[in-house]
Amino acid sequence: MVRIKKGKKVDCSFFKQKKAQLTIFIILALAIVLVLILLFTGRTNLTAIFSPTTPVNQIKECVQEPVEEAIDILKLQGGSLDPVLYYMYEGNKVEYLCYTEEYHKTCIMQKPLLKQSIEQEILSYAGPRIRNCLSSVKANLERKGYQVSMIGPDIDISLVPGNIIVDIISDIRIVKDKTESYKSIKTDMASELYDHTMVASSISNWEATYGDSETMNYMIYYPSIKVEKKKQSDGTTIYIITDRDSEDKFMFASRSLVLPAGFTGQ
Amino acid sequence: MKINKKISIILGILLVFSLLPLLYAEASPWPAYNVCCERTINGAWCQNTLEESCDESYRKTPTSCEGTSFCKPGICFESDEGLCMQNTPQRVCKDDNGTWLDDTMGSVPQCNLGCCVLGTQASFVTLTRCKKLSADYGLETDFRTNIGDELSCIAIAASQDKGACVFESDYQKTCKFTTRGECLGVEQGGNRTSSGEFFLNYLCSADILATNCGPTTDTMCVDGKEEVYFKDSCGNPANIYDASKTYSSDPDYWKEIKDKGDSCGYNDASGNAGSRSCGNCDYFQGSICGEGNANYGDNICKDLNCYNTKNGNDYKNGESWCEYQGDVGEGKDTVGSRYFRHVCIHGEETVEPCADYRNEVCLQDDIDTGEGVFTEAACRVNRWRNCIDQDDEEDCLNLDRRDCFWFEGGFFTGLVSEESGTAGTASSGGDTFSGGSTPTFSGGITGQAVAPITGKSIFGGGDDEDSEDSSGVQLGGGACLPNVPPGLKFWSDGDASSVCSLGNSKCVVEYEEKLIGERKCVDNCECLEEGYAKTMNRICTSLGDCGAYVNINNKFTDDGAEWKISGDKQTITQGIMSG
Repeated sequence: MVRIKKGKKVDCSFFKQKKAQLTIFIILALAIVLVLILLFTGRTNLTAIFSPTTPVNQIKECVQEPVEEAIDILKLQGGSLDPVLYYMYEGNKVEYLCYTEEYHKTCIMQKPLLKQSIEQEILSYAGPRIRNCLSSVKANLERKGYQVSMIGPDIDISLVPGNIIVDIISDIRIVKDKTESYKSIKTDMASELYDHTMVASSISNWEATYGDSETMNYMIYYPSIKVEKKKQSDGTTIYIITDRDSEDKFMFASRSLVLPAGFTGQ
Repeated sequence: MKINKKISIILGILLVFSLLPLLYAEASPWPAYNVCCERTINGAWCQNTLEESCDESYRKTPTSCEGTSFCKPGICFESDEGLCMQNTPQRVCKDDNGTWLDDTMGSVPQCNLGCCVLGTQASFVTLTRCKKLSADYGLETDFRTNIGDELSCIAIAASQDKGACVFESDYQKTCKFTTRGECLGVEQGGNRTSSGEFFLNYLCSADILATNCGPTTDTMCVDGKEEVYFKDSCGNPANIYDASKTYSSDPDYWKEIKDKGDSCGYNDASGNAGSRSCGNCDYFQGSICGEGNANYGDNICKDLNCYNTKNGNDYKNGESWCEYQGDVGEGKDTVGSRYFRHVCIHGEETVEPCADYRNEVCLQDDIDTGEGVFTEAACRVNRWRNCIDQDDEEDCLNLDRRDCFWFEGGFFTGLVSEESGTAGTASSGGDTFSGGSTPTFSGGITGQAVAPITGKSIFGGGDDEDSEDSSGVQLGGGACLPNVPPGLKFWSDGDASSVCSLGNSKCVVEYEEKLIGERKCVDNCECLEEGYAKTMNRICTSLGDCGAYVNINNKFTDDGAEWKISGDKQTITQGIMSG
């Protein structure tokens, strides 16, 4: 509200100008606060807000969440989603990669092809979820006027150094203003799971051959990882492999060359 | 006659053979596993176990798994990664689509190791693995079968010719710092519009090469290297970071490779850890390239040593040491105690428990490196099991064979004391005046850590008035005992009682009757004194978690020992342990 003294001429354009400036400042301040909130909460990147997601990116987004969920489950369970032969450690069912029931014997390898087994496990968890998501994306794009053809996608998951590669293999054709065709869409996800799997396989091999392993050797050769060995009372050894930078863990169990308590272990 | 003789021989052999399983069953200290299960009910593949543990939907054979076709252990070869997994049953390998090889000696050609040279690094692996690694790094496979060990392999990587590889990319003269092999082995393709020319020992930033790679003040860490390096404008490493040798201060430093020994702070006792001006890190002195504030760039030599560890001491990177829970050795380990190994690596202290029940002990030793002491420790099997079989001091103390100590003051007679060693049962004392009194000491399980501590043994005697012979452990001579007594499952009905009952003792004391009802001790009189109980308890506690002793919480219990004279129970105090 503007107060006007009697008998005095008032220049209203001056006040209007000031008011307009104030509004602009308020809008700017609000925009800055919004951007800062988004940045600090780490919700999203700015490019994603200001540029629309392309159909291919929408397809790629289907991959991330289910694969991460699968990894979160299996990394603390020796690479299994639903362990059968396991040791209960800190609330986790930790699968044995190498196991013997006997005393004084080295263990029998239970998961010789660990990398393949983990790839299979991720696929079994993430595959149906990715397919569901792809169907939703397809329906969503079609609602927006796209013509989408995607024939029964095959999904391939492979662990490679530093990454998990998810390959959606399908004849994908997206038509609107232009036509996009893909034979497969590959998504790379940063992960240390390959390295952890290789170290776990190597430790299992030592356990199967010699009944034990020296954790320090691994930590000296690979300074970026930490290997912890926790021997349990029943002869089980829990190994925890941790990436020093990302703090990603991989945990598995082994039971090898166990000595009985007393003479009989009873 | 001849036929009869033959029959009797055959019967004799049959008898011997039929006795063998019985003898074995007697001698075998753990459950007699009688079948090979292809899969057990708990989900384990190929286990020698009890028949009732087998999963009925899989195969089982009344023999060892080694003798079966489906569970025979061998090598499982994984052709993608080139891994050879040991001790893998045929069934498991084939189920996982691996190639099963009938070999346990590691002589399979696919599993032969060689030196795989990967640019400036090397790995001692199989040929298949080498091909995989080379493909991962985009390099040509360089597999050398004539290198027989890992150290020589690593040395080869270090000794390779390195220098500037100059080539044209997008018609611009550029450079990559690499090995001669990698430089000359890469063909034209992609952006690369010329083959490479190799300049041995030159840096890409050398003015004379006239490439687009120039000096910067930025630094970098290099995979497989410990030092901080200057970085050129193309992202190649130059020489070791030295704040006094930027291009403006010393252009020569940007021309050719300088040895580590000629670089700043060489042989620094701390490996230049934390230095803002020198990046000559030394992993063996406890430093490695990592992020940090330096005069130039964002990398410094990070300190990897451990300070103020759990025992209050400082340790170097790679050192390891033991943690003991109270007294150790000479049978003095307390009930419930365990050995631990601590490791200092990458500036972090990690703790590794040795096997429980003191089946492993931690051993440590100090090595004088000339630059101070380096401590190394390891968990090693506690070889206590045949200590009590030794009656010769020299055999007992043979550290190549066993971990025992020789105790003076008591010996095993080889005669089993008639006292039972059942934990928690007190034998009532019998007055056996007519031949003398019979003190007994029964070692039982020392109990009550949280649960009761040990097994039980009995010193003295007195219940059995018919027996007038001393038996079990007696005073005098020497006995071979476990240096680190094993832990026992004294809370369950297992062998703890039988182990502890080895320490039982019955000592018959003889008196001479005088005319007016008086009596005079004439033989084994020392068995009536507290020293007898002390000695017996010492032997008892050394056998395992037996006797009257303390636990890791320093709580004393006497449940594990019983001392009687003529059937009268004697008090065992904590002071008995000093005996």
